[in-house]
Amino acid sequence: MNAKVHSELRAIVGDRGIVDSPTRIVPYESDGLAILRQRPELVLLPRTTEETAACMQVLHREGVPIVPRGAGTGLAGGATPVEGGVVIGLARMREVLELNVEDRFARVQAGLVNASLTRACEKHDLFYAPDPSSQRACTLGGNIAANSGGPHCFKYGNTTQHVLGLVIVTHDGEVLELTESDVEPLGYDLVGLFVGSEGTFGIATEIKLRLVRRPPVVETLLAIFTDLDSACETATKMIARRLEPSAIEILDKLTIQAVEDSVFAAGYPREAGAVLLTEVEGLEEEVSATSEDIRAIFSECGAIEVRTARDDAERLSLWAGRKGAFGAMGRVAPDLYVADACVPRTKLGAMVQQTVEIAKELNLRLATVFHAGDGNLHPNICYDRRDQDEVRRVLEAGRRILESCVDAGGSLSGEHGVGLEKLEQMEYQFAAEDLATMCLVRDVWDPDRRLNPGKLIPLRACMETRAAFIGKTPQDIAR
Amino acid sequence: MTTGSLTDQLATIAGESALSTWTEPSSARELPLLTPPDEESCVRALQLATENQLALIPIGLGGKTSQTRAAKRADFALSMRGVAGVEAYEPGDGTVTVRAGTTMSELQAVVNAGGHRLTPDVPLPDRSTIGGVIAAGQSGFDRLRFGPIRNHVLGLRVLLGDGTGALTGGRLVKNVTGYDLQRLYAGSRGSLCLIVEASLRLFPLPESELVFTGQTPSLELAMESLRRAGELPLTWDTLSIAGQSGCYRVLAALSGRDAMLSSHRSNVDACIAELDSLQTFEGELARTARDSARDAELTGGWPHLRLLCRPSELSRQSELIFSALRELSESPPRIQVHPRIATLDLWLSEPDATRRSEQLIELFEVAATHSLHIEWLGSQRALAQELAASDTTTPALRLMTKLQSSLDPAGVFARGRFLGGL
Amino acid sequence: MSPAKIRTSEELVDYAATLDCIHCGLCLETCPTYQLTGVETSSPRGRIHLMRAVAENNLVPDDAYRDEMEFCLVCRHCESVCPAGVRMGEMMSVARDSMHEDAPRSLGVRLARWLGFRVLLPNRAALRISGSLLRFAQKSGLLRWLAEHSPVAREQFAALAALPTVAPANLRRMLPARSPAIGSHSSSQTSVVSMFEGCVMPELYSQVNRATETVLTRLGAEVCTNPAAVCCGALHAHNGDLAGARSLAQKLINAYEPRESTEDSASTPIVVNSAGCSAHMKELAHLFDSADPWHARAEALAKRIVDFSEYVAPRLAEEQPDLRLDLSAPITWDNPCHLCHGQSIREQPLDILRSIDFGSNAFVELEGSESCCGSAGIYSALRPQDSADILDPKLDALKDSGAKLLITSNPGCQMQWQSGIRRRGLDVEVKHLAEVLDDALSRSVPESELDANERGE
Repeated sequence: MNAKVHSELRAIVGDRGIVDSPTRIVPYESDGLAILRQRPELVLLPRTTEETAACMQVLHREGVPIVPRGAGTGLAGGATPVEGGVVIGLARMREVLELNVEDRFARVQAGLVNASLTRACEKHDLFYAPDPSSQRACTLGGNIAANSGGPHCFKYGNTTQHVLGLVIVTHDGEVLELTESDVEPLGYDLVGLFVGSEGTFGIATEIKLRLVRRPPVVETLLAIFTDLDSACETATKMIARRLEPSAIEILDKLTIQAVEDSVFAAGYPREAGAVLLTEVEGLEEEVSATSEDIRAIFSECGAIEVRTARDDAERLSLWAGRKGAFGAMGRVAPDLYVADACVPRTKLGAMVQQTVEIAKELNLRLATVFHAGDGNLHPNICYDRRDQDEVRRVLEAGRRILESCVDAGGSLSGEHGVGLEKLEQMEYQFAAEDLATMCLVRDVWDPDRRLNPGKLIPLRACMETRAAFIGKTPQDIAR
Repeated sequence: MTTGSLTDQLATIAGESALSTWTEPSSARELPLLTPPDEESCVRALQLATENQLALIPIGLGGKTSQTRAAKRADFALSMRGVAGVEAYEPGDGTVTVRAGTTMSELQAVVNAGGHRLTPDVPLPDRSTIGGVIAAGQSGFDRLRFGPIRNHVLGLRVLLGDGTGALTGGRLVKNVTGYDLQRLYAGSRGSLCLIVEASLRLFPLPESELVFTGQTPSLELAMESLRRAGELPLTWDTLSIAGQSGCYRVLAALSGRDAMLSSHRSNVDACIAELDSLQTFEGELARTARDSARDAELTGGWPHLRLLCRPSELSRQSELIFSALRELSESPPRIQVHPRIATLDLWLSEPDATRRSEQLIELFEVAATHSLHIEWLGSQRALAQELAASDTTTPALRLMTKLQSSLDPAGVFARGRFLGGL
Repeated sequence: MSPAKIRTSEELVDYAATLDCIHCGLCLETCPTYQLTGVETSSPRGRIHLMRAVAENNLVPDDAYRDEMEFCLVCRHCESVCPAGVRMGEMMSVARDSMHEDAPRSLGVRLARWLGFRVLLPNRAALRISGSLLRFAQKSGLLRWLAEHSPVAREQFAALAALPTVAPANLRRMLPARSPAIGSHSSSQTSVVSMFEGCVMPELYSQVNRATETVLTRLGAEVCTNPAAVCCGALHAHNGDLAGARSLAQKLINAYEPRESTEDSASTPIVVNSAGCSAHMKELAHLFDSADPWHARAEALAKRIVDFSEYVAPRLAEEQPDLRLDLSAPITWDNPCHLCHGQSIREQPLDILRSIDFGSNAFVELEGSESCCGSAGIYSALRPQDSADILDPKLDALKDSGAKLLITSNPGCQMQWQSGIRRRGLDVEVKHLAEVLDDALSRSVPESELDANERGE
């Protein structure tokens, strides 16, 4: 892009909406997956749908690739920039546009931070259910792109179940309202299709979201185990007995220690081999009945202690500890690789064991913290990206963990998305025809393949070879 | 290809026995019906259609095709009823993978035996296949609790127009790998692909159930009673009103833990106390009461009209419809309302088809002036063109059309049956 | 000035500390400059990213880099939410210090920094004279004239003009060397505390120091002051003058180390009523290498430092005086960053306020009371526009709260609020926590004194 285009874009977003200094642009070179880095040519931070559309029109005309970005907390490299491309960030679009208490929905700008929405509606006893661990930082627009989950998605479902409508800007800068009737889609469910498309279909700028009533009673239980296996067995039994808590989380010893060293210390016992954090919501009678059943399983599986949060403060602290776990790993090593695979819940224990073995074999430090109720594993590998050999082993472990999850009937991602990180493994999980079908759909939304190019679907899997921007593989960029 | 040579060709796929005839309700057109016994035959039928530029209508048992419009062109129908059976049921994982032609009651029986509950709870489950329910995006009587079916389709295996098989999603309760094409396919009315296999999320069978029923001549009172019930901190399975001027039946269904139901029973009673003929059903009786109310949704055929709106606007919007109807028709319509979901289904009583079409067209005009969202689920041919014209304003229709021509470039799946000519 | 030793790129920043950051982003929402701009570079994570890039030779420090480092308020809000325990305050001190050597500033800036950091702040006499000069410039209208007509530093003169009017010299007296406890107290013996008067406090907020002293004495403490303790060096450390900060730290340590000539013993608490200073004094040891003997001496001093609220809250709880202060409108509390984020002091000030019966005018909460007001030491003078922009949403929150009295406990914050409130034309008074408590204590007769009076009859 030449200087004229830069100033054209500057005129659209204003001085504060453009980052083009070679220095200031540096932090945009990666998202939460810092191992992959690529500096973009330009970062644009529009404030409205109209500004976004105007930028996209210019970039369409110039044929520039675009990488959308929320808060850059994604862990799969979904917002890693592309060379010569532009990053369109949502960080300045953070208004709550409408809060409808009676019909329980909110319309927001896509850059609003997840937790801000719950803060905005909590006085009406409502909340926004999907609660990714990064909810205090991640944007709702980013949640749309990744179809984000979170601990309580066990009960409430991933983001997609909460999206009632979208306003998007298409690849060529057209504003498209996908806000459907409140009940059923009109025609195809384009909203459902868009959610989870990782920025390859367009940029969502306004989002209509379902809000949920606060449950009258919430009981939070922390079961303490001497080993990880028993914790996994407990979770598997809870599912098999068809109990319905709102979340089932497991933290292993290394994670517990990192959390307890941090500002989010929640009182998890340091000496425990693992803890299982679960929460039961609803009316008093159903909560106590379900909690009784759960306690029975705890004791069957050899929990050495079961604690109950006494009040909201303690409950929030238990959760803050869980949600700060990723960041707390910074105490263990400079970098953290967070895998995000799903397996059938009957295979939790076996898979966790396998990840432990893989890490041991490759001489890596593994910390595990995961959404057990959903079968969503997060084996976290602590490493130092300055150590090239360790980086190699981390990538190798990541690949092997993902592949063994797929072998067990699982999938590559439960909530972080494919991004750049799992691109290679897409061909392991899906057949060429499956990927080709996805490509067909992608090309409808973005015929020039300029939106988040090189992400989500490996390009060579596509049937047609049109002129497109070939993204780098994770290995290329890591090098 | 002549009709004769087409049936000959179709017979080569799975023999004469797999061949019969079927009448498209919206056009009264009689078509050859192929019921392939297996997936392999489905692939061959699709290849046949591709090679000979034929258009087919995919059906299950065909029950919901009266909701769709007449195809622009259709050469034969293909029923998936022959491709049936549960592929995998993992009681320990709470998921099931099932072939498309399995009926809802067959599926229900399998998962109930493992302690699971199947959603959606659709009317006449023995006359609906899971493939048909997913293709129609049909919601159940339990929607208030579980939401629309698209939330629980974990993965789909489909055949594209040329017979290529493609998988989307998986068998996992949580999974964001790749695009959610299952959301695109669910509710696409067979206009994009042929669903051959689906994986679904299951829910636990409740410990017990309670169904409250009552009657009232006042629709207002019925709505108000359910509004109050809806405000209780309970998770309702169903809150519905059905009936006609002068007599509305109210039903409220709850399920869950024993202790919870028995202790909140009186709170519900208080909300609906002003209704007449109050009854409360438990256990097996509750299930029967709920099932018969659910199946009653279908007596008299599919609803002709469905008003969709926000809960807070339901009263005002339905009043607008009623007053428009009063001007058009002599007798008030039979209705079914789900106030908390905010849908109003209407069956018009006018027996004369031409006159009814006129009424509907006028009704749509009224709706348009008040920006009400009405869906037409009937099958009058005269109306089809009128309504198709109004569809073109649907946002993103252009994108939908592109999606269709990209996934099914040869037009193997008969077009014009869905919104905007899709 | 001796030529700066050439630093390696790793030494330009606190490289080891940057490795603690795992890029999770939980800091983003807390950061005032990120909130203001939405630019990731202007966030804690972004700044650490820049620092690490510098250390790893992926970025050569330039003006944009220095500007981002100076844009940071060092409010340390991010530290309160950082699961990895990144110490942003310390990292900023290191980064700014190297910038100072790395790119010498213009002559005017160097002169101003030298005058301010090396001449004025460490020197009580110079501070006293400046107080009088400032008062003259304020009274005569000279500052306002300069703010409009000066060829240089107009914004800075405007900032000076916005300062509270300096009290006449007779009201700016230093506190007496020793003030006895007032009344009898439930605690068995009166305690001795040393009170840190600070550098600018006696000039700009002498009434706060007096109130602090009165409160302490009324709560049964014998209060001593230490004339040798002038400036703690917090401003130096935060603004890229680690050498200056170290030398002031040494002076301070010397001043308070127990010896015959002073009242200080190794256990005498040092009460500090300025949150920025108490936070810095608790962390003085960071300025010295752990092998340096000064490190241990700094730690010994740090153990004695208590913030005003930290000292007072437990004593109030013990004495439980009947405190009443009828105000005509609601009050609110804004927690200085270096109190809540720097020292994790959150409950104590609220406990103090809760112990006072404000009549019908209850306490109202200020939204975002833990976010920075934009004062940030001398930030408001260095970057007046940014500083005002940062305060803006807080002024909105203040207006929404309906409070007519805002309480804080740091002189910089007090000034910042006062000038912002004046700019907005709001009718809100700003007071230090000590002033409010002093008012309440002086208006209610302590039970103990009452007992004494009764016994006297």
